Amino acid sequence: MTGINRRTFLGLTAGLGVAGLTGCGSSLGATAVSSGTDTVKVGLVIPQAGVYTPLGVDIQRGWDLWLRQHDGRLGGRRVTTVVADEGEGPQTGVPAVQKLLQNDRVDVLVGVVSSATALGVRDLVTSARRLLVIANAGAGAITSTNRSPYIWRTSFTNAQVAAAMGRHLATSGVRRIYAIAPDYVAGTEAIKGFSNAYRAGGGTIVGQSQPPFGKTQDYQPFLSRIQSSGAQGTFCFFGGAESVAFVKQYAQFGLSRTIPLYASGFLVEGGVLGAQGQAADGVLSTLHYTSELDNPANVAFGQAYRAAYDAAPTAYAVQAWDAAEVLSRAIAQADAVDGDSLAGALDSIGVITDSPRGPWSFTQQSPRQNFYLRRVQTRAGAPVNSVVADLGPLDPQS
Amino acid sequence: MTSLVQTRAPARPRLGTGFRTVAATTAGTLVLAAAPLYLAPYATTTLTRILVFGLLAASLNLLVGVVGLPSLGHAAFFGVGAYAAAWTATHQTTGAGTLLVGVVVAALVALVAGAVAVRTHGVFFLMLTLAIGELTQQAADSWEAVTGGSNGLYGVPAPSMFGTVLDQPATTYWYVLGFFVVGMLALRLVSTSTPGVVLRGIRDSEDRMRALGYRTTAIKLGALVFAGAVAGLAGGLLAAQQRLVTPADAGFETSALALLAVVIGGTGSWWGPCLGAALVIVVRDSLGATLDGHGPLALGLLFVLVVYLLPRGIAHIRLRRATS
Repeated sequence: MTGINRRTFLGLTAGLGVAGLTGCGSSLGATAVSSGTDTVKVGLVIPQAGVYTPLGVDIQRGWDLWLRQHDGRLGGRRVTTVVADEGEGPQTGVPAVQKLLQNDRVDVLVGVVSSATALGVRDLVTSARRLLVIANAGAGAITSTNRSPYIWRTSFTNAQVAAAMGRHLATSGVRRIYAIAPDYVAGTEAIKGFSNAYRAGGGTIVGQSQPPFGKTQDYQPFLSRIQSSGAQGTFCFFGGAESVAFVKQYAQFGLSRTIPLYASGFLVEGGVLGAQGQAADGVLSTLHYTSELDNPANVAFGQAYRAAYDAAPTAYAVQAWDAAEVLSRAIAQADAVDGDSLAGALDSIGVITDSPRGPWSFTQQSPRQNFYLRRVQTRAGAPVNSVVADLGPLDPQS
Repeated sequence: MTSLVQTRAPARPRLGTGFRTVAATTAGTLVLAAAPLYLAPYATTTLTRILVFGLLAASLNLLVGVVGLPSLGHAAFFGVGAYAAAWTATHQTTGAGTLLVGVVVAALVALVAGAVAVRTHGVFFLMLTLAIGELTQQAADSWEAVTGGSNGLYGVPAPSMFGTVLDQPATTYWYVLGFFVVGMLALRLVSTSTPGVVLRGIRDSEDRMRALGYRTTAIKLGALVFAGAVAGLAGGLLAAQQRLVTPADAGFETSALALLAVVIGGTGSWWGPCLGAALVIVVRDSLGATLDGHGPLALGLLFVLVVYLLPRGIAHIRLRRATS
């Protein structure tokens, strides 16, 4: 008796658990549209646990601040934001998107930091015909080879950021460069984007290394190679804890005095800059934003951001801010929140002139935007990326 | 003494137990098969993920609970099977043949890895399997031409059977459920038949089994290859369900979560690890996503609670028996 009872009891409990958590109904048939004509439900997918948490925090701040300054409305519709934790990668990111689409029935998705997650949810988003505005993930394939009409991006492509530095160095008399980035897709894309632009301008890559991603603590072997390579400068791309370790060891090795460090801007963006301390002083990098940009939109944005969060704004916060901005315009224009209407509206949105990052527009669903040459300096006791030059606009597929 | 014995109900005849098991299994399968009719799409998708992970946990349980080989690298075979199936679906066919490829490739990898691993015991076996898992993840990360590197193999086509593309939550679910049942029956067959008895013998006293004339190393290797093959089947189902395979699917965290599911469910039980998997998936994916970043903490608490409250797992909870 107990054999069956126990098994049935537990089976039922598990079944009820799943059902109770998510609501019953039927999986057959079409999903109904949830929102009326005066509301919109947005799913914000950001990392709240794991190594990318600081990026998630900045993205949420940018999103919240935009809404707070605009009466909580996107294109006239009252916004409900549902946040889901993306975690460190697609193992948690894909289920989070699935939950927002199928359980919370959101109209629009915003966020996604990991490129693997962005690529992995393509079919989900496409078959649900919902708009996804990517506020960070930088893999080129998201808006090129793996393109979906419903996935748009307000951030950057990895190659684009690096190409800005390649183009600049080739025209500034630095003829021989050593390139280094971690051995994963984003690192490879950065090196490739840099090399293509740099070689096109007549520069020579004298050597290149790709240390194992997430497993390298000691960069000494690579630094020795850079030292003996005869390079006039080092181009690098690292993020998070790795960027702190690399910048510190580069300075300790004494290389920063003889072979200047040039970087894809993420090396010195956000919280990592404080952790790098003196070692980061003088590092030159390219990015589509810095908190020190002197345009009216950024001055106002910076003041509001500092007042609200007591921290300097970052590129990640601006990416979310702009995601809200373009969504608001698209919703106002489309007068509907399904993926087809919104994608159509984004397509005809034109140039956004009042963004804190400067003017930008969509080219192949990803920003064509200005890049800035930035130098790490100490201002009022805190390290910042001051603007050295405006390098002009670049296409996403550079 | 006599009175004590008499208060216990006499042992049931084996036939009755067998019949009850068959009846309960059939009923359970029917309830599961009908699930998409009464569950919302998200619940169905979650249940699909539970089945995939449950099959992985059940295959690991064959090693941990039946043979006594606690592996920290079982996800290696899961990941290899998933990659092989995803690659086949992208480049060759989207039929059930992808699963066969996943099973065969995973079994081959298990054969090579097992040839080294089964010769060791205890903590050495743990460390070796851990290394095998890490090597597999590293290979998946670096071999970009085939695996897509850290971004993984994405855009895997949906499976198809009899000319129908199975890309809806319900159809994907039935596809996964069908092969889940096949995998579970295979595991059941091995663990309850004569080989299962021999494997339990090895778990309890390998020396004695060797003295009795059994070639224990070869038998353990066979068990590892079989468990690897079923993990490969689960991997193939992952590719069909998630339509994305990344290096993390072969890595330590997946192995550790599978082991957690086995511990929660109860080692040695046939169906317990599936319940453990259900709990792990619901806490990680459904609950974890809403906890403001405290998802991993919830998993940790769950593990601590289970170890203290149910040291032998869900499957070994004994409801109080009526005595006459």
